[in-house]
Amino acid sequence: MSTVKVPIGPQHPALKEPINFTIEIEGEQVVDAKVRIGYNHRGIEKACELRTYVRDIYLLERVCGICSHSHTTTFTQGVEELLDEDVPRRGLYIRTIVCELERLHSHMLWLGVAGHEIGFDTLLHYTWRDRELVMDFLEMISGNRVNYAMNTIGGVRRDISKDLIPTLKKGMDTFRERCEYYLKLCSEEPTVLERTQGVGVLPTHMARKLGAVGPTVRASAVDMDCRKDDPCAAYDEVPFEVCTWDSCDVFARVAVRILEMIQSCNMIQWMLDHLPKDEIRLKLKRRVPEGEVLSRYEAPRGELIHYIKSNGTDKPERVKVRTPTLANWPSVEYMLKGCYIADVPIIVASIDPCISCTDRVTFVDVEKEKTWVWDSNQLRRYGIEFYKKKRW
Amino acid sequence: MPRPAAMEPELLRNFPRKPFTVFYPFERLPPFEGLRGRHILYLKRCVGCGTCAKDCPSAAIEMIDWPDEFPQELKNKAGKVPKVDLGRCLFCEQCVESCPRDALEMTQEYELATFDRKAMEWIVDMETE
Repeated sequence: MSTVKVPIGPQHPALKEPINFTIEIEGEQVVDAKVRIGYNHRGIEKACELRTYVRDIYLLERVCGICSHSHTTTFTQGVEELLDEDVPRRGLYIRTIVCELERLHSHMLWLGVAGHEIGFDTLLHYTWRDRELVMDFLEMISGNRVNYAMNTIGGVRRDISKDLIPTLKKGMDTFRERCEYYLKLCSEEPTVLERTQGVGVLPTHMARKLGAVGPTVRASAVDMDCRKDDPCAAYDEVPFEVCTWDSCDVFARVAVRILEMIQSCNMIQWMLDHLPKDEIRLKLKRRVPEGEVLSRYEAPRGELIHYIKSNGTDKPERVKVRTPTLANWPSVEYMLKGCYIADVPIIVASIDPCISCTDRVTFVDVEKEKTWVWDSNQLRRYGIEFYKKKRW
Repeated sequence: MPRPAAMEPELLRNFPRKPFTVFYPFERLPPFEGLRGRHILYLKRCVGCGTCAKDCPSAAIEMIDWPDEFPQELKNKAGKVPKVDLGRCLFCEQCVESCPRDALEMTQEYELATFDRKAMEWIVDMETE
């Protein structure tokens, strides 16, 4: 049966990040799903070629608003490798502490967003309140809540003072308690269980085949973590476990993220206890010798890759960024097939997409050859109403 | 095991508490030490080399000729002074780090919203000491 495809008109980058899903349905069930991306081309990679390495750090920090530190970590460690210099241990430890704090706030933010998508807004408000603790710590350490500007080529720019360490350690205790509470809550609360268990299943073999990364692949029982497999910064010294879950559904992704937060709290406390006493940074020369490097780091959303090619000047010849969300789109298409329309928002949200919200969704009814367009809010409301009716 | 109203004890515990939100314009939290706010320039130390302008990621700093209203006795050899466009500034503190003479510093002043676009084109606050 032929289906009608409608090109979606102008989008609204000012409101939510632009992306387009075309979803073919039969009654309530999704038959096929297609993701269209590329509406938000910002030309960052080209702009990197026109700026010096120092200026590129601040440009790449603004690729993403949540994992800003991940991008600078990946870029700076790539450039350090090209320069063939060893960064002082204390610098690497502080870099890793900020990395883990960023993971905490990113996962906590996601937990709130997931709560919002399934109509459990109480969870959103409580998680975001607890997230403020980490945001305050980041501001205390770096001087800014979002774009920390901590990384520089050759180390970090600010030291963690002695007075701050007890506050941070106590804060991590509080945060770990909250994470343990949320893990208990999510495994008991019927709203969460009903909307997440058995939804958006990505079997282990498919997760491997589709090249999923980050918590998405770890929730499919694949023990894959860039911090363990290819340790960068101070990850080769810090003890931690890779968290996996074997139910392969959205609930597994909730559980993996909460378990990772508990691990991160432990890691931060360990690093604060074992902070080396040398320098925080090296002063390196501005001209980078000719060469190319592939730098990898496990961002909160998954494996982040930067490719840097230098040509002997103070500007890179090519910078390529592969964000984890891009690697997860094929998995989303797979997960959407066969689910209910009501589950579309939470399945898309379950990979923690950097293009955070569905700009618009087109529905194509296969039987009636009818097409209509919903925005993400309408779709979310539909999902909540659908499950309310189903329950009674 | 599903347990209905699993969050109820937490909600009851928080019920008598004050709201967590700070009602900003009426109630202000003190900024943390090390917050990156508006710039300040120590005129005596500035040599007008323009390194800050070269390193600024958003090209917010422009080196201009020594303005007439600035004390002429402090004029450096280059006769230049940085002008910071706060509308473009990212507040990354790279200029402070790049300055060879520590002439630039960042204050904790963060309330910089204005209705006038021109008001954002500061020739930075000067400090003659």
